[in-house]
Amino acid sequence: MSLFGALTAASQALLSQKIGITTTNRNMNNVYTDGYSRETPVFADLPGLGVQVETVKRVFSRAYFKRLISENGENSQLSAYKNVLSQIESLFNDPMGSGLSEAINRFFNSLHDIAVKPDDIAARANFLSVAKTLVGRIRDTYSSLEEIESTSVSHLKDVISEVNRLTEKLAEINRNMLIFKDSPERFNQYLDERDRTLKELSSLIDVKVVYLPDERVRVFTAKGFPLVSEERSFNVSVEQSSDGVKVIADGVDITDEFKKGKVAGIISGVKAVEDYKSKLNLLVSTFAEKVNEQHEAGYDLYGETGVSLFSSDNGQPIDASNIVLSFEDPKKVAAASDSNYLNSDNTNVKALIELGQKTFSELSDLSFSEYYGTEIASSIGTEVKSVDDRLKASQFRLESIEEKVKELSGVNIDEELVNLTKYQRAYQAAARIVTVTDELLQTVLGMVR
Amino acid sequence: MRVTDGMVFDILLKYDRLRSSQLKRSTEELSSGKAILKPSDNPVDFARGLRLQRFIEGVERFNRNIDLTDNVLKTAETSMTSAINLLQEARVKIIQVLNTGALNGEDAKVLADYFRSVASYVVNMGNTRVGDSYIFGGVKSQSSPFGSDGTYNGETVETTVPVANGVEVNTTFNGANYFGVNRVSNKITVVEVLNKIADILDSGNLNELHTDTVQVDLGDGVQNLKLLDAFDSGLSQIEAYRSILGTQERVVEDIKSQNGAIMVHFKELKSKIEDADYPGAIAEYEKAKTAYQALLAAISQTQNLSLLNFFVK
Repeated sequence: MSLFGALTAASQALLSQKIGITTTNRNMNNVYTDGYSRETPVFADLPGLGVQVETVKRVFSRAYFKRLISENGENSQLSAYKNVLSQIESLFNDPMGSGLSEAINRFFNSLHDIAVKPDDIAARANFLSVAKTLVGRIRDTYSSLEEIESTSVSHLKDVISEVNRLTEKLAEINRNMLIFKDSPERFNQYLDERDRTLKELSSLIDVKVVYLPDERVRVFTAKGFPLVSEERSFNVSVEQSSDGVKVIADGVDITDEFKKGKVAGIISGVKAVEDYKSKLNLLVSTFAEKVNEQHEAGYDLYGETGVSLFSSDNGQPIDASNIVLSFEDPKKVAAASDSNYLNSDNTNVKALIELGQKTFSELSDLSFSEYYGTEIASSIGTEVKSVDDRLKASQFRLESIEEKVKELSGVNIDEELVNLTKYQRAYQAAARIVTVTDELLQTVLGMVR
Repeated sequence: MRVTDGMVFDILLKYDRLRSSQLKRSTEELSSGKAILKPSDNPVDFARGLRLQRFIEGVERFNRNIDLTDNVLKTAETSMTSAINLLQEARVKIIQVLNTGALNGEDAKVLADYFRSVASYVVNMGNTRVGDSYIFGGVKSQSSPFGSDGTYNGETVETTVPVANGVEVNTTFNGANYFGVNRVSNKITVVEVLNKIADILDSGNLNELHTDTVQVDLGDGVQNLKLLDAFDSGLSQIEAYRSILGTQERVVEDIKSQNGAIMVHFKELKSKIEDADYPGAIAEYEKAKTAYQALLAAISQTQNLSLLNFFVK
């Protein structure tokens, strides 16, 4: 080999080691960058002598990544669902002051004062104020439930528009990445960005990713509706109608198909709110109906009968959204069953007190307080607890797969420092070859003088 | 295993969150004194807690009813007792009169006045009020149940108030029973007899005291009784109903102390379910605190371990 050949080989080596140093540099700079996959230069010896960087390899496992986005979707679903559920739970937290349990108990207990002294106006007024508190609590709880529902729905809309933004971004990445197919450093950056976007997307909505041989992706959501197909993206939309909120893809309602991601979590959350709203309505309408029935059977201090205690403020049948107290005049409380003794007979009040202990087939054969305690308060507690347990397990799985991904693709500074030293030494050696070859050339040139 | 620099910080974050939430939880338990802070902490115990609270409030309510009705029961018993005492004295006088062959006009008038005043005292006792309600008129509590001649104008229906599940005590009483009203004349038997004796004394025809009879029906059929026998059967009915009152009072006292015991038991149970176990919570708190400190120490130690330290000159 000629001395010039040696110089060429040395300069090739200098270039290659420099790529190594640049790659190390990038790795070290991105040591804490989320979603960055470390790169390693692949050196290959050239025929004859010399070295070149064949490619800069991105250290990445597609299998791990697929598991990561699947776990991520489940985790976000559970966490969004739990978020809505704990808001509902806070409305029924009786020991901390919310909830209806105390108000229901007081409603029936305050009737005793009237039973002891049926003509006591103060006892009657006290009962009405207790009843008013109960009505207020019911209405407050119901409107809080409605508020939770409406904020969840607007959150869902935000999430869906974020989904659309991300799918557009993915389509753009698909379009652009091919341009840099031949420059591995830039191409790898696109791959990182693509995977970051996919991970983000997977936390929002069900995704199924298909990788094409040229690294572009197709993304499908629940029921196989496409979100991204190579260079095109497809929008998903939210529609709200009287019978609830709907997620529409390609004109088809796929609301019930979601299993993962925030979208699925919020949708189940909204369903839970609906569920508790109807449970509360059932309790309140049964309560109002039974109390009214008994109250109407009695006589008030004016001798009138057939007066109901509760009514609705919008003409609809009484439920948690419209219940009001029918009157504020204490004399209108129907305590007597005997119209001859309006201010001494307490038979009807005692019948009203009895209602507190009675069970009703409408309420799954439970009493009012028991239905509230088990079917509403304790039931939401059980649901939150079960979701919380599942969330913890999912969190654990997600963390372990994230750790696996980082173990493989993350940057270790010590490792990079060693590599840096390695490339530095190799660079110094190649430079030394240049000077030595130069000296040799000088010597050769000196020979002809 | 390949350990990357990012992982160290992930561990810091993960355990920092974990320990912080443990610390928050123990602090909440310690400061609120409750072990169940929300339904999901323990849904079953949460429902049990609500149920116990309901029982406790119910029992408290019953005890309040007992306190309120106690006054009525005591007043009723006092009224009946003083009526009985006076009637027993009057009975001695009746026997004296029966055993006396002759009385001068002056003595007869004094005795007649005495018997009439006893009769009106008994009627007065029958018209006893608590607050503004007559207690011996049954549900008709707004007007006096007995007329001045002992006629009963009240109702036979009584008002009652629950003091325990399935147990009710009276807040008004059926005066017809409690004062032994004669169903034939609708008057208090003893009052009727006393007035009759006074009338005979006034007429001076003392023989009638031995021969006159009264038709009496105290719920066990009509009987034709001599004056003293009629008086005795009326009095014994009043005595019998006073003892019913006494029994009712004792039952109520029993229920009250039983309610108290049940309440203590329920409260204890509720506290066991809901209240924080302080030694446990403090131990948890200390554990979380120590773990948190250890985590911070470990992080600051490992952070300094890097090859970088040997490269920088």
